[in-house]
This record gives sequence, structure tokens and C-alpha cells, in this order.
Amino acid sequence: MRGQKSHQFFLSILSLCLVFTLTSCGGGGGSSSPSVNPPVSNDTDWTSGVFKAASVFKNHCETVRTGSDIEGKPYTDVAGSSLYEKHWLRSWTHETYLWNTEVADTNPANSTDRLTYFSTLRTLAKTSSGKDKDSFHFSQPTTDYLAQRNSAGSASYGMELVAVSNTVPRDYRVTYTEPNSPAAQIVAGQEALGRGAKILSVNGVDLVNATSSQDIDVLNNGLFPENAGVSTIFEVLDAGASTSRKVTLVSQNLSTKPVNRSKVIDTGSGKVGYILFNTFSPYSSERDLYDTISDFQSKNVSDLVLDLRYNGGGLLAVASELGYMIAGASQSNGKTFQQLRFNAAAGNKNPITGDANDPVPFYSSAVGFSVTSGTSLPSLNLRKVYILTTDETCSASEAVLNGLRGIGVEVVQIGGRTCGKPYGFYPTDNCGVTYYTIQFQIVNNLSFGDYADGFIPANSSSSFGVKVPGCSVADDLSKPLGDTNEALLAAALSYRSSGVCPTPPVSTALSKQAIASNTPSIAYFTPHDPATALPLPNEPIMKSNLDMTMPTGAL
Amino acid sequence: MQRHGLTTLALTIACTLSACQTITAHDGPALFVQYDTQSARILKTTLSTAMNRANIDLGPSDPSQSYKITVLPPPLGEHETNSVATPTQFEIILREGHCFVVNSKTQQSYALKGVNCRPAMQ
Repeated sequence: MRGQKSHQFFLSILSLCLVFTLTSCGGGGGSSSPSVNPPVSNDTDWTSGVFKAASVFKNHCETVRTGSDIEGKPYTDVAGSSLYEKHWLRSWTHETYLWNTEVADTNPANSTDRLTYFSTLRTLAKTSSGKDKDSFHFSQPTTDYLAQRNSAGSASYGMELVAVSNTVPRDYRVTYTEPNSPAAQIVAGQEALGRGAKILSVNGVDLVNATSSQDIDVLNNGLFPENAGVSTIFEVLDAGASTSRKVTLVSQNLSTKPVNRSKVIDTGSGKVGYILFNTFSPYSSERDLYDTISDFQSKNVSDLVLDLRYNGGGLLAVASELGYMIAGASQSNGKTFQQLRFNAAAGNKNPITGDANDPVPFYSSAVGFSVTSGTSLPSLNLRKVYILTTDETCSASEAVLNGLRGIGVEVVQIGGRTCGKPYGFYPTDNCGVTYYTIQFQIVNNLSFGDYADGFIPANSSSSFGVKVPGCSVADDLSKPLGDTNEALLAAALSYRSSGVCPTPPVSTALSKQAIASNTPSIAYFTPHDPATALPLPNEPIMKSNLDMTMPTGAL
Repeated sequence: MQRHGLTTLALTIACTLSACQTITAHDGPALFVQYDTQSARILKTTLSTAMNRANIDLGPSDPSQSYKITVLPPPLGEHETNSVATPTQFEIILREGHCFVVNSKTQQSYALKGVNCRPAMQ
């Protein structure tokens, strides 16, 4: 009896221990799988203005994907329908679209397909200039989205092109080359393909006048190789030259170097740092800027010309770091670089992530993309910065202008109107399509973010856009970038010393904007229309379609 | 009966305290004793589980030199020109002689089984 009572006593202790242990101690990690709501027959009933949670419809697909994507993430699709997918789009738009109150609520059942329905889920309002307020509404197959973001560089010669004219007679020019690329190699004392060089022929085919499908294919295959190792003969006419020359280049897998070049210009009134900064996208952009600004700091640079004329944006965190590296601690401490503004229903939360919508400061230490997290950033402590722009200056680049203006740093803009994109999104997959819908606006320390018509130099005659002190100057393809005689840099240096904009030059220097005011900066994709443009299959969409309409044939 | 009840209570309390995370003198930020192929593999595998992503890339950090580790976000798509993506911060800690990584934001911890750690000098 006594032994039995001891046994019972032991068991009761053990039980109590287990209970207290399990309830007292925190658990380990791992995230829970998203719950799957089983379809309910009346889920897809539509009542105007009444929205079920998007989570009710998420991943209920007409065509169910099985297995995992190329990033190893298992698909979570369950059997659904096209109508379920459209209802997801409707509810997701209602929950997260920035201008959700401006979207006409129509019955998804009346739409033929998900993409057609998605195209209706946007505001039709216009900006002051008359352009669509929402120029950034599109989709693509998720397989394409994932393939592109996981590609380790793409085959190229390392030259960027602009179509001064993309119809016959065509005029394609080199705008810049990537360092250490085939196009940048020195051949007979000069760059293989320098800035401003006009492409006359590719592998013997006349680029200027070719019209046959066969010739167009030769041009495309030569200009835009699919693989590394493709050898191509270019006939070019260099800027200012009277005779052409031929050069052979072999394509390589290349990535864009964020800081393409930099230099310190020793003027009579102090040292001016010049940076050609072409993208915020790669993680290496953090390291490139850190190294360059550190170098400028060590050399006592007292002014900065930041050349963002070809910078279409990327990581906003790097933009914040750049803002700090320009302004320094005394001007930026405690200030907001950017605040995301969502739709009114979101309150003070990010409706996509559920996180608190906290303002983003000017990061004074590295966030850890390519510089060890927590490393103190260098700074130039400038009260004024000269920023060179064109219509390709976009997104995160504009956020730098806006962020600095928000804390009283004097921004002087030299060049042309920026693209006007104070908006962003979280690309979201549902049932094999990645959707892009504007979900937030970026505002600065003064809560300003209304630059949908771009930033524009103050002496521009245009009545649209946010006027910024500075000078309208057309892009100048006749001089290398970083050359103090190149029109935009020269104007910045001249303005710095005199405060006056240069008189527009009378020279015949080739100017992209002067000649091609109504021509896209890069050819649109037009499948096999030999009279028009050459396709650019790998060109970033922001370079080819600033109005963000997807090319013909795209999803 | 009364003695049994008090004994039960005392033992239960002791059991609870010992099962939960007891703070010892060496608990806190930690460094890998050795950052080699095996410990790198364990770190990546553990962080991959923590991030619920099959493939991850680490930011520039050496866990034998710094207790702060960053996991890079997925690369940007070509249309992501205003991306709010940032690296995810983790810290390596020692807890009762075992090595963990802790998500700095969520404070969720994940055991680094098979990795030897030492206290980081502060």
C-alpha cells in the first residue's frame, strides 16, 4: 500500500512538471504554415462594396501548381477557380491598393479572365500633366519573375544603348559602358565602344536601314546575345568622327556596376566629388557607395555632383544610406528619410506585412547588404548637392532628392525631368501570376511626396512637376561621362561657381533629348515589325516603358 | 497529505525553473569557435529554416568575429525600383552552453546543433 501511494505520488509530480514545463517555457522557431480556408459555396457571391478578406480566396487556383518553385519554396495552391482568383484580386486591391477608394467595384464574374479583371482594378485619375496617376499597374508570370531575379548576370558586351531614333533610318548610340567589360576595353588607344558611338552595322547587316525579317534577326541576335561567348562585329561611327571603324566583341555574363566611375575634380574653389551611380538594385550598391564616399571624405571633398541620370532606382535602404552619407549626422539625426503612406484603411500598420508602419530614418550605419551590418557610414556633411538627372532618373533616385529636400539640404538639379514615381509595391504571386499594384507612396520628413510629374529644374518652361533650383540641360552624348566638358557636369560646375545656368549651347553636340523628344529612350519591344523597333528582350522595363505598360506579347 | 502537497509544490516549482531558460554567467552574445565548412552549412541550414526559404544568402559577416548575422532578402526583380527590402538581422547567443541564433526582430530562437560557440567579448 505504501509503495502504491509512493508510485502515485511520483506520477502526480511528473504530470505537474510536464504541465508547468509546457506552459511556462517559450517555444522554438519556425513559422506556421498559412491556414487554408476551405471553399464555401457562397464565398464568390458578389455584393457591391462588400469585401471578404483576401485570405479567403488566396491560392485557390484554377490550375493548381504542385511541387516547389525554383527558389525551393513549396507551392501552397489548392483547387479553386478563375472566379476565386478574381475575387482574390478584388479583395487584395481593396485591402492594399493605395487608391482603393477610386477603384470601380465590378462583379468579377462578369470579367472574362483574371488579367483582364486585374487591369480594371486601378484608378483612372490623371496627374496635373494629364498622364495616368497610376502608370505602374501590371503583371507577369511568376516563373518569369523568379527566373529574372535569380539570374546571375546576363549576356552582354557591357554597353548601354539609347535609340535616338528607333524607326528607319535608325540611330542607336552608346550611352555608357560597364567597367572592365568587352565594350570598355581599350582597342587601338580608345574604348572599343565609347559614349556617343553610333552603331552602323552588326555582323555586316545595316542597322540604320535594314527591314527584312532575316536582317532584323541578325541585328537582334548580335546586339542582344542570349549567351556568353557570342562574337559580333560592330561597325561604328564615333562621336565627332568622320569615318567608321569595325570592332569585334565577345559577350560575357555581366552585372551592372552601381558606381560606374568616380573622380575628384580639383577646382580653384575646392574639391568636387563626382559619382556616376547607375543603380540601387544590387547589394553591391551599398559597398560601392561606402567605398566612394569614404575616399571622398579622406580627400576633403567639399562638394558633390551625384550623377543619377541613368539610375532607375532599387533598394530604398541604400537610398537612405546615401542620403546620410551626403548630409551627415547633424542634419539627419532624428529625421525621417522616408515614410510609407498606405491607403487610409491601413491605419498605422503596413497592410501587406502587418508590421507597424514606422518611419525610415537616414541610416547612419550599414544595414548589411554588402557592408557588415552596424558599420558606421562615412559622410560628407554637405548642405548642398548637385544631382544630374534625365527621364531615366526614377524611384529610389527620386527618393534621394526628396529625402534630402525634406531635411533642408539644398538640392540643385541639373538635366531633365525625372520620371515621377513616388510609389512602390510588393510583387505578389497568386496562382502563378505575380501582380504589381501600387500600394504605397513615399513621403519625406516634411510629409511631401507629390512628385508624380517628376522633379524638374527651375528654369524649365514646363508648368508641371516639382520645380527644383537648377538648370535644364539636354543629355550630351558627345563627351564621356565624368568629362568636365560634358554638358550636364559642366553646367553643374558652372552653376556651382556662378549660380547661373549656362546659355543653351549653339554647338551640334548630339543631344538625346533635343533630337528625340517624342521617342522612347530605348526601343519598345515590337515583335518582327521590321519598319519599327528592334526588340530588347532583356532590357529592364523601367528603361523601355516609363509608362509601365507591358510590351506586346507580355502577360 | 499536507507534507505530500508541499513537497509536490516545491518539486514542481523546481522542475519549472530548471526546464526553462536559466540565465547562467555565460549566457549572451556568442561567436563561433570555428567558422568552417561544416559550421557554415549548419548556420545556413538553420537560418534557411528560420526564414522559411529554401535558398538564402548571408550578408557580409563572419560569425567567428561578430555575433551579428544578416540574411539577405531575395534579389530584386527588375520592376522593383522602390524596394523596401532589407536584410534580416540575427544574433548568435549562448544559452546554457548551447549555441542559438535569435531573430533580432521577433526574438524567435533556433538551435545551432553541432556548432561550438564561445562568449563574445563585449
